Amino acid sequence: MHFTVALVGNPNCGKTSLFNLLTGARQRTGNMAGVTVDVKQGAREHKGLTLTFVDLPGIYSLSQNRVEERVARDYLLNTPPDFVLNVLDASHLSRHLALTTQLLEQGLPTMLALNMMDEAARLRCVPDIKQLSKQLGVPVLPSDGRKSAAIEPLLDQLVASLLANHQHQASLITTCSALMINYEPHVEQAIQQLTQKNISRWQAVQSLEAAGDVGFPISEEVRQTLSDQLTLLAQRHDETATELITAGRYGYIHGLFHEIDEAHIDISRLDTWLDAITLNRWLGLPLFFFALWLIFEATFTLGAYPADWIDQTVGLIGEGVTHWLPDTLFRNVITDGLLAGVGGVLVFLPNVVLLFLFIAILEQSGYMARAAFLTDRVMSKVGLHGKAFVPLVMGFGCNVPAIMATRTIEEPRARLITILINPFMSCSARLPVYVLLAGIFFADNAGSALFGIHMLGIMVAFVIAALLSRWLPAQPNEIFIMELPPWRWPSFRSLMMHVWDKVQDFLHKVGGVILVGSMAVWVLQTFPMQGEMSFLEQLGRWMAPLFAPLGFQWQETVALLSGFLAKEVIAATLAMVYQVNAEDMGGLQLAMQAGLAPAAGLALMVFTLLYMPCLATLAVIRRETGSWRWAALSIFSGLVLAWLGGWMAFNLGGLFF
Amino acid sequence: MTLDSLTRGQRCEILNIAGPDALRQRLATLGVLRGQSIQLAAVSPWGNPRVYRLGRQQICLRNEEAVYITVTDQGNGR
Repeated sequence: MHFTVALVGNPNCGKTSLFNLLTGARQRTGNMAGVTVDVKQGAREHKGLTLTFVDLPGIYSLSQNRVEERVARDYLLNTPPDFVLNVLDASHLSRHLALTTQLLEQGLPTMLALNMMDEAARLRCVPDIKQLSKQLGVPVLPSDGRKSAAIEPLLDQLVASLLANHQHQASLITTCSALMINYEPHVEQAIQQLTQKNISRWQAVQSLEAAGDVGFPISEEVRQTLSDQLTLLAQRHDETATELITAGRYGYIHGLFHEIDEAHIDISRLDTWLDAITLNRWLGLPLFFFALWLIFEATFTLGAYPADWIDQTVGLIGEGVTHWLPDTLFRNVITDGLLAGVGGVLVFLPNVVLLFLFIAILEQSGYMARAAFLTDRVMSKVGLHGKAFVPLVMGFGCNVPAIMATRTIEEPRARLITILINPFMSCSARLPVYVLLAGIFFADNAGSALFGIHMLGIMVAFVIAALLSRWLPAQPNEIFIMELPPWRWPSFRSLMMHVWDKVQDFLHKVGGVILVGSMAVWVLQTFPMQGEMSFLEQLGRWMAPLFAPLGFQWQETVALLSGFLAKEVIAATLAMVYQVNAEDMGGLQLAMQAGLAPAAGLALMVFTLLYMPCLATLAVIRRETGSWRWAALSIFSGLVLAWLGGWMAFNLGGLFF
Repeated sequence: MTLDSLTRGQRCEILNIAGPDALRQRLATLGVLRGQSIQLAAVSPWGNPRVYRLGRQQICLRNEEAVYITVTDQGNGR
C-alpha cells in the first residue's frame, strides 16, 4: 500500500533534517528560516508500506498569504496527504503549537514529532509528551533530525496510525474529531454566522483569520457575511480578528500545560553571551568581516596540503604514462589533455570543499541569520529586502540554487534585483581560478586576496543593486520581520553530508563539462599539426587585441572564452596552455609568472569574477524571471563590467606591483 | 511610548499593536500580542533594525514597524 505523509511545521524547526533522515534525501538545511522554498518529495519503505514524504516550506500559520505559506496551504487543500507529520521545536513549544491547533481544527489526520528535545532538556522545560498526546488526542513522539535512532519509533507510529485511519475510512467512521477552541464571544458569534452559510467551522475560523484570503473557494454569500462580520468585529474591538483568534489559540495552548511556564525560562547564558558579542553594535560587523577573512585564509592555507597530494598523484600518473606508453597522439591526449586539464582543476577540490564546509558551519550554527540582521540596513538602502541575504550567501556556493531561493521574496522588484546581482556573488566554480592566480601573484597573502576578490564581488553587487533600484519602478516594501534562531552546534552528520555532496558534485562536473572542455581545448591546441600555430593560438591571437588593454595574452583570452561553459574550465585551460612543458603545478606557476605581469594576474581575477554567468545560471535567470531579456542583460552588463574592472585593475595594479 | 524608543535591556509590556493588517497578522502569528513582556536585546550598527526578546524568542524588527507597537512607560532596566 502507498501513503503520502506531509511534513508541516514552523520555519527552522528541523523539518528538512527529519525529511533527509526519513527518506535518505540530501536537501539543503540550515539554522535559519526559509531554506526550503518549494515542495520536495522522497519515499521510504516501512513494514511493507511505501511512504512518500513531502517536505513543505516552513510556515507560521495556515491563514497567511506569503509565498511559503500559500505553497503549504494550497498543497494541503488541493492534494490532501494521507497523514500530516507536524514537526515542532520542543524548546519553543507554545509558539509551534499555534500551527498545530490550526491543523487539528481542520481535522487533518495529524501526528506530532517533537524535535530539539535536547535543547528543551538543557533549558529544563521538557514537555510531558503523554499528557500532550492525551490532551490533543493525537500521537506525539520525540524525534531528532540528527539521530537515526529516533526514526524507527516514529515510522512505527506513522504506519500504525495510517493503517488505523485507512480501516476507519473503509468502515465510514471518522477517526479524528476536529479540535474545538472557544474563542472570544464576539468571534464565536461571527463563526456562528458563517457556519450557517454552509461552511465548516475551520473554514469560518480561517476566513476570519485571513480576512477572506483563503485557499478554498467561498461563495459570494459567505464573502458578504464575512465582510459584515469583520466590520462588526472592528467596531467592537481594537484588535483585529487575527489577533483575537491568535490570542484564543494561545489561551488554549497555555491551558494545555500550565505546569510548564515557558515564559519564565530565560535564554541560556552562553547564548546571551554569544549574542552580546556577535550582535554588538560596534563589534558585530567588523567581527563578521573578520570571520569571512578567516574563512578565506583557511580555505587557502589548509587546502594547500591535500591539494599538494593530489598534484603529486597526478604528476606520478603522468610520469608513468610517459614512461610506459610510446610517444603517440594517444599518449599526448592523456598527458596534455586529460591530466593537465582535468588534473589542473582536480587539485582545487580541497579548497572548494573547505569553503563549503565553513559556510555550512556558519549557516547551521545560526550565525548567518545574525549577519543578515547586521547588514539589513545596507541592504535596504540599495533596494534589497532583508530576505535577500540567504540567496546572496548561497551564491558563494552556486548561483543556480541561490537564484531559485529568491522565490521567498514577494515584492517583484526586490526579487528581480536579487536575481540579477546574484552572479556577482562569486560562486565556488570561480574559486580554482582565484586560488591558482593568488598562489602565483600574491603568494604571501593569498587568503587576503581571496577575501578581497569576494568582497569586490559583493561591492559590485551592491552598486548594481543601487542602480537597478533607481531604474526599476518602486513598489511598496514588504514587511521584514525575522526570527533569530537560537545558537546550535552544527551536526556532524549534516556537515559531512554537505561536504560529501559537494565532493560528488565537483567530481561529477570534472567528469562532465570540464572533461569535455579540456578535450576540446586539447584538440584545438594540437591541430593542425603541421602549421606553425594551433587553431587555439590562432583564435586567441585573433581575439587578443580586445583584451590587450587588460594585459592578457592569447593564453588568457582562450581561457576566458572556454569559461563560458563553466568557470572551472578557465583553470583547466590555463593549465593546458601553459603546462605544455611543465610537469606539475609548480611548473605551471613558474610558467605563468614568467608570462604574465602581476597586475594582469589581478585583472584576470577581476575579469573572472565579473564576466557573464555560466550557462546553467543563465538558464535559471531566464526561467525565474520568465524572459530572455534579463538573461541577455546579465551577459551584457557582466562583460562590460568585467572589461572595465579588469582594465582598472591592470592599470591601477601596474602602479603598485 | 512606542517600542522603538526602548533603551537596550529595557523591559516593558505591550499595550497596543496598530498599523496595517498585514503587519498585525504577521506579528500575531509570531506570538507578539498585547500584554506580553518585551525587551530590547540588540541594536544593529545603524540603529535599525533591532532585536527584541519575548520570552526566549528573539525577533528582529525594523523601526518602521516598531513604531506601531505601543508599550508601557514605566519600563525598568534589567
